[in-house]
Amino acid sequence: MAQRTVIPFGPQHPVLPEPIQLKLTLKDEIVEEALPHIGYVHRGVEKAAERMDYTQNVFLVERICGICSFIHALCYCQGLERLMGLEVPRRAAYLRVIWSELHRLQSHHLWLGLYADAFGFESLFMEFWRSREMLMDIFEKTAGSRVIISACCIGGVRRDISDQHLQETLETLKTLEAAFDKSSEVMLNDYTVKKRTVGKGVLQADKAIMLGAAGPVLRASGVEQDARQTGFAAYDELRVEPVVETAGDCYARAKVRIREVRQSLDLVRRAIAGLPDTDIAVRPKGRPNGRTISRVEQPRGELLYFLAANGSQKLERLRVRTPTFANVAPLVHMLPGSELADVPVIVLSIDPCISCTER
Amino acid sequence: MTEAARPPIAPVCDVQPTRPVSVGDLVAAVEAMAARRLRFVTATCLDMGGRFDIYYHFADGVKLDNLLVTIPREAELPSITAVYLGAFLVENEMKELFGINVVDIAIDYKGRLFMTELDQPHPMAKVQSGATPAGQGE
Repeated sequence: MAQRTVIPFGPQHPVLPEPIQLKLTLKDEIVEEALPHIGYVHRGVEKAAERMDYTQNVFLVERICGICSFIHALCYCQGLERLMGLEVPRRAAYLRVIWSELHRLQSHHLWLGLYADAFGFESLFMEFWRSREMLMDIFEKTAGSRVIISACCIGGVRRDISDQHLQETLETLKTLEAAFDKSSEVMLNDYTVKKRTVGKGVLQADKAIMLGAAGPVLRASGVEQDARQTGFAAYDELRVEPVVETAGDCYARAKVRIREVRQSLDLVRRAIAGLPDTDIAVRPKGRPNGRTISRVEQPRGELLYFLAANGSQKLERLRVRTPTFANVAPLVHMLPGSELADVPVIVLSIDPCISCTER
Repeated sequence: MTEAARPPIAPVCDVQPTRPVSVGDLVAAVEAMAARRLRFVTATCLDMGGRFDIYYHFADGVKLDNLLVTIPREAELPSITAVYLGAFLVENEMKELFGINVVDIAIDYKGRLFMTELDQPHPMAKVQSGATPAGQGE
């Protein structure tokens, strides 16, 4: 006779870099229900943003997430620039694309490594993370810091990238791509990897829409949506076609990210080739007033900032909706019906960032 | 120019398109969004002192479509989770952090999504109306 058991998955678990708990109700080895519990790393960033000066908030929002810090700052600055009527110089817009895509590259490498580790493929984990170090070195070289690079500011970017560093970046990307060709080949074609990921944690397109999925989770279910299509920063000139897969399983989500790595490599190269020779920032005038929404595409998906300002030095409200916040409901839908042994792989497949989710 | 010396500029509102709906029409308006196969993105709550402004954001392809509901502080707000289950986290967040009385949430954490019984009742609320004393929680 089948037995029902409730198992707490997390908040501390080998596959979870950050704490989240899923209360799994199992019938024998099959998950019947998953109930998420968060709240372990809530920092009150939205409240803090109401108490700080709107210029100080750039540094605050960068600290929401260490993996995509630049893109948080970009989303925030972009919203303020809209409220203040600022037009960012084109070189700054291109530099924003370069740093954003480098962040996407390092985030996807980080995820691919963690994902490999989730099903016990440690040598593959090390391959991806070794490559990621090249990207971290590019950040250090171009911005002076490896994690929170603080390159974005209201009105543009805080620093330029020299021609020499641009050339060195291109050289490093060549080496990175060669390593990625080998590692991604294993991730896509290895028998064991496919056995653990094909047909696992399936999310159909209509469910992805109704549950509000974002980013690679959404696109792996066949929905062609990518916030870069809105043309923010320099994406209006550097056109982006969303990377789409249709199977909606863990394998498809990995495949989307692997193809996005190639797309980001191409974008960085095109942005460097077309980098305009203009100023890198304009000086803000006046104080922000009004309400606006700013959207960008993080490595994990669409990031939305809602800004409300009243002409004072402090914002009335800053709302941050991160992609993992959107992907929790799809995850809860993916898990029922799967085997307990597949839960870590399915959880990892949404690329969860709990610091982002809780803010 | 120092930050304090900067004058405010003319207000901008580019949360567009935004359609105001009454609280009674909210669920029907959300059902209409679902019928158009729009993706629920999130909701944003603004505490305006005597009232709450709540925006519901939906993705229509790459564009956004928004609904705006304005409710008095103590009013009930119906949950939209029967239509968009994915709204359960943001509705719990609004309930817990702002003190909005969201009713019939499909997965209701009853004020314990982020907070413990030791936290101040509704930390994002600008007016702590009807708040239970600190330390007693909800």
